[in-house]
Amino acid sequence: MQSSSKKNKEIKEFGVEGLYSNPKNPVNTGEWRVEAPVIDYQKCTSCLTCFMYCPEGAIEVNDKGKPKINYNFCKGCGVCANECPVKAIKFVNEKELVKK
Amino acid sequence: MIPEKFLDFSKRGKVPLTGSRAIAFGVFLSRANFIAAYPITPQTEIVEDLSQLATLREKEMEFMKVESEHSAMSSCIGAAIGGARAFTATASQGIEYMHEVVYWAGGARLPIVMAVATRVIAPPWSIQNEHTDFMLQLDNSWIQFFAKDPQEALDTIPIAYRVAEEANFPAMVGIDGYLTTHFTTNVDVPSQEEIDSFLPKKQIKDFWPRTLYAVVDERYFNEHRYKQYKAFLASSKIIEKVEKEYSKKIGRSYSAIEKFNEDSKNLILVIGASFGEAQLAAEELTKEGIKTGAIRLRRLRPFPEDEIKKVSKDAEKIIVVERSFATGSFGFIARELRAILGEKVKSFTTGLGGKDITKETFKKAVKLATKNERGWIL
Amino acid sequence: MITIKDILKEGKDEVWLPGNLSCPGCGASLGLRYLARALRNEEFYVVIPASCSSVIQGYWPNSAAKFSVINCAFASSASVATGLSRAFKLRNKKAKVVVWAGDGGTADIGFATLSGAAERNEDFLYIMYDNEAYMNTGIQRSSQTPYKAITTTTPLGKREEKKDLDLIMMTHGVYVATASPAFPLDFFEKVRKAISLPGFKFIHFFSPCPPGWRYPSEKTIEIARLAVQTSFFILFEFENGKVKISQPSLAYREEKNRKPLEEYLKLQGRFKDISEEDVKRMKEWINQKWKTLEKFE
Repeated sequence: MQSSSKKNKEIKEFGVEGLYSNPKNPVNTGEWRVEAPVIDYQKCTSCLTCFMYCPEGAIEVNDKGKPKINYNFCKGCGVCANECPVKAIKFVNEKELVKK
Repeated sequence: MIPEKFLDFSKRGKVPLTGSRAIAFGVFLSRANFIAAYPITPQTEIVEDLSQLATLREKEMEFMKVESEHSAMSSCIGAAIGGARAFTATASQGIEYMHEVVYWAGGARLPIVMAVATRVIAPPWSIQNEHTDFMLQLDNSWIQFFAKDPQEALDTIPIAYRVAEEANFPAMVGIDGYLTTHFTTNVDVPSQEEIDSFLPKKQIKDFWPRTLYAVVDERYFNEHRYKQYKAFLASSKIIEKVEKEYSKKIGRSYSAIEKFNEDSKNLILVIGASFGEAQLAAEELTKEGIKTGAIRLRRLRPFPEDEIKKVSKDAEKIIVVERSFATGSFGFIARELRAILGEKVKSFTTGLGGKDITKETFKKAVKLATKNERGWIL
Repeated sequence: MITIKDILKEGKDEVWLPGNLSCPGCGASLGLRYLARALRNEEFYVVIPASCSSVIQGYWPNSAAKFSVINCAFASSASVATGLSRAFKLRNKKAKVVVWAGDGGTADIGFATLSGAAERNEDFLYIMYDNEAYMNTGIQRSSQTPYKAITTTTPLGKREEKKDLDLIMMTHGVYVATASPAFPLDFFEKVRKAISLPGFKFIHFFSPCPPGWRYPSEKTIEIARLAVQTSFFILFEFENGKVKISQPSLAYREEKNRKPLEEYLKLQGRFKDISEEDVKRMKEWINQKWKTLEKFE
């Protein structure tokens, strides 16, 4: 027989968990891609325009200040390639990316 | 304006109060600190009195002058999330305007208390008493009480807060427009200290950095509602416990049903202020040889199924006389009673738009119930 | 002015997490990413009414927000934020309240609550992200849809002009600013400045939408930039009765310096049926907007 205060707490919590969500990447949106962006580090000047403009936040910056695309989440929208001032990002077919 | 001599809450005492003022006193004694209400007849005096009472606690009590009822309930939702003890009051058009967010408060499990001064919903226009606006809020996941007089109105507010904060469901208290809101009786007002010992400070749970009320998809939604349903039904145990404690600490007992000569074979069932007339009718009919009693349903949600079954065990007829307009087969409460008790429940509608309900009305209803299972008393 | 290096120094990780449910190239997702990074040093609560943003957070139990989000009913975002900010003040909690609402929930269904909150000078920041239609329900026209734009409810192009919500908020006497994702550092500055001011603050954020405006997703920033360069969207701040044109828009005050409006319009499928007369009328509208702003300068 549970103590009444413990049972009351359980009753109170019924269904309240469905009202709260916790911070966590919702979906591996990398799976949405058909084409993937690839950075040519020879041309890249680390201006970080791509990092700034990615709507997903899927471009990370490593310790050397170079942008690195997180392919788990990149949706392949193309904003980075379109905005790169030195055109260092080009799009390749998803299959080619897997090969790399 | 509330006279100065009534504003001493340090001592318990008898004060002549209207139903509206009693509600305002109850809210003040419960230390509600966020009031957001839009004026609408017949609740206007509640808003005015609270606005005056808020000046007594300038830094600790917030009186929001919102621009609509929808905003009033929405700000109460925001305030309850932020940790304040929120209160609003409304009637007919107002409660229908805020209907969307009333449902939201129920589903969000926020301990908001609302007073509903019942009134006709237009068209046609009328500011007079009718319970339809209260009845249309059934099944919103709100705990619902209906008080019959200013004394009960004042007592039910701290009870409602205590229940709401323990069960995590909002609670609404209905009172008859004009019949209770504008009717003065001597009310025994408990002292602030007594209410503080009954109603502790609100527990604030911070939820940073969690997200509230996001999308729940079909995998989980059904079960979520089931859990909410279970919690709502279980809140009746919390209500009984709280009412017992109020009785011990303050000295007045309340329960889901108020009974009068309940061992009779005819039982008149009413909600609200017309209980007095129902009792007179029951006495007179019993003298005439038709053994009649009266029950007042004080708690509508969660529906007191067990109490109803117990009290009506030996009755042959339950004559439900409702002051609300329902276009279904039976009245709002009658249909629920019928589902539990079957054909012995008879459903009558009367008193709409402020039409007087007297003991003659009830006597007519009992006589009609001998041959009819539903009808109107015109 | 803040720089990209400053932003990285404050934190490398995202506060608005990737993997959210927004369309590729979504202006709103980018706006939330900027907002979250701008406020990362605060405890901030974002009230989000029904909109695309209430869906892109992700489904229970995961949320893309590493900050508190309170979802609310469509018309009530300003009121919920009111109650929340006042409740925080009552218990002396130092937290910021922000509303992130779409143009529908601000200028149309939420207009009454918005005006009420602004009139009472409630203490929170209201950001309207403007994708110029009711996008979440499938691209229906709102009061913020521009003239002659095609939406599902205006298949022949919208007949009315875009409602000037900035001017309406200016007449409430509150801080008003406009921002664009093509100029993120300007947006950062405005958010940080606004959040430090007392009272009601309103920021109008331009939010291009690839499926709604019918353009390929990679052009989101290009379109946002062209909107400023053609003065279709003017960046400014309004404070204490005075307008200050923001740096990115200063060069385009003179009509001869602006990029031709046709460049902006031809990129978007929603303007495909536009005629020369319509373009002339739009240019007139832009000139009129400049004249109105200059009256307050």
